[in-house]
Amino acid sequence: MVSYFTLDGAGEGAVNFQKEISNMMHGFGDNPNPNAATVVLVESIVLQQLRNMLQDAWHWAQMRGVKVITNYEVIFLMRKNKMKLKRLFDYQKKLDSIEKKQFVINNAEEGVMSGVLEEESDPPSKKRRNHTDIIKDLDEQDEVLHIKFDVIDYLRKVRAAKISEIMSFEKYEAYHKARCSSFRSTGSGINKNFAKLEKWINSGKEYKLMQSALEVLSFLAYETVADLVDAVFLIRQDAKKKSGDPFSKFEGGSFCNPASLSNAVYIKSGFEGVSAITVAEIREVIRRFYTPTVGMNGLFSRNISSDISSKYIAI
Amino acid sequence: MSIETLNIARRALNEALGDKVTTYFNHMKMWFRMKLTKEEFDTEARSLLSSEQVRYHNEFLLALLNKVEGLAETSISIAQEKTNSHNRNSRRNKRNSRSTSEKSNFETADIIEYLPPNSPPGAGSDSVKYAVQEVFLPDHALVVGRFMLAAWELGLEGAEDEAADLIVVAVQNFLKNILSAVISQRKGYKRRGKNFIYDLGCEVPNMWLRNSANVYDPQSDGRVTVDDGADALGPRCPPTIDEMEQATAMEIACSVPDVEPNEDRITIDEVYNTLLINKNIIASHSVYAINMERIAAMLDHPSY
Repeated sequence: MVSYFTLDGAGEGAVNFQKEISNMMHGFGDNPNPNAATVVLVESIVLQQLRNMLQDAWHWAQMRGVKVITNYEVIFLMRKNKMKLKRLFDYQKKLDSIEKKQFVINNAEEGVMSGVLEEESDPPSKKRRNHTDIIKDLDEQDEVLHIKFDVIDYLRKVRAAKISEIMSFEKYEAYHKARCSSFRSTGSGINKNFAKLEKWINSGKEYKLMQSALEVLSFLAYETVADLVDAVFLIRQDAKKKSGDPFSKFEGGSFCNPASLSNAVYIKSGFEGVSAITVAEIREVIRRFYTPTVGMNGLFSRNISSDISSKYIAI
Repeated sequence: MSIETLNIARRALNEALGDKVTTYFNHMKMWFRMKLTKEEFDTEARSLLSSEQVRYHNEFLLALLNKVEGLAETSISIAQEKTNSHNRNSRRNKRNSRSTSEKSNFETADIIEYLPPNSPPGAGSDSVKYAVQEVFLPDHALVVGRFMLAAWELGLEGAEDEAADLIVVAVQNFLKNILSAVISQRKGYKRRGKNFIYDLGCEVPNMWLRNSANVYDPQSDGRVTVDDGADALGPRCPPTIDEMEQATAMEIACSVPDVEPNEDRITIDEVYNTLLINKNIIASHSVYAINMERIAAMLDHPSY
């Protein structure tokens, strides 16, 4: 296929996220060294999805009569998926609290601590994020706000913390680095920006994008990679099924928490035991996502309606 | 690159053939459609060309087969045998004319001439019109060959490997779509979001049991969660094996027991009904209509 891990030194416009995506895939459960061809394929899929979203957002922006793509248009694309809206909601809350803490740390010497700790004031150098306001706007029946606190999720977080305590140092280093990958450029504190992301999806500068829109797009890109890896593990379970034995699909146990497999029923040795995701598996995942027998193109309809092209993996 | 050698050989052959280009390529097309064996194609080609021009034919075939790997080894050896036997014939004539009193040497028979032809004899090569009516899916070599032939007829330069790769994957996708649709009419499945079908053949919970409401799949929440890292987003801790086993056991307990024996084979009736219902599996109307009529004709009998 196309170029593999190109180091960015001499490439003309060779912006790629292959290292980040490779780390992300490991974070989601793939082998610590994912297959290079697979990473290239995943990168091209994410790029294509983001560009389609951009085009749709531009369409909505024109309908509203604005010249710049803001985060309103991108969140509008996600309006039907309440779980993702809720996650974006929590994401913003988290980011806000992190920024507030950093602002406090940065300005601690100037003695403005007491003033900043009030709820309403924000770091003055940054424009206020308004994803939560937009979500509240779009959510007419308050479904997003009513999604309750998830006990099971909380217990899982506790378990994850416990498991990372028993990992050795090198494994933890790699694991931690994988967990920290994202589509944002590295920067310090408040300087985190999306320059690389913007150059990647909007290299011809055809659309004007706001920073808030780029933030939501980076969130969606992350979700796309996550959904792809998740779907691959579902397919692997399907492949392992044997008739008559409903627990046979769990053999190998590569989908679930590797540290919980320490009872000797399933042979495993942590993340290194997972075989790398292949190109064929990703192709099968894409085939199933875009199969012509569901939705508006499903039973009894004859012409392929346009909603196949606007189906997004992450939304 | 081998495409260059191929094109050079092809142009040389075209010049050598002159008017007989169309007959030559017709024979070649029939070879690809498996109506002619390689030996027959070879004899036809030799009858069209003079003895020096046969060299161009051999070179062209060698270049083509080098390009199309997998067929290369056997065919190179066959072509070399042919040229060797040709040379040997001319040499033998010279020797006999010089020394008449020499005892004729004993030469072992050339085994290649006595082997059965390449294509399997039972394949009914007369009635086969399309190369895929043998039971295998088209592989890369065959597709590249047919592409190049079609391209030359239209005056193009040739075909790339990646085009053939695309076709091979596309055929597999198409067949998988049809099979998934047929099987999902028969067995239960789970859905991820609105579009992703997985776990075909799983146990479907009986909705009239009270506990079915508590059936929960721990894998349905995805792999992303908001956490305390620097980016506020991180991978979520996956479910443990105990959770998964428990969820599966609950699902089985809530499902309807399957008393009927599992009829594994897919019948033509099922395919016909599935295609009637999901017309979009075959996007092209002409392909769909012709094949549905064929199936309907097969299922029909005058006594119905």
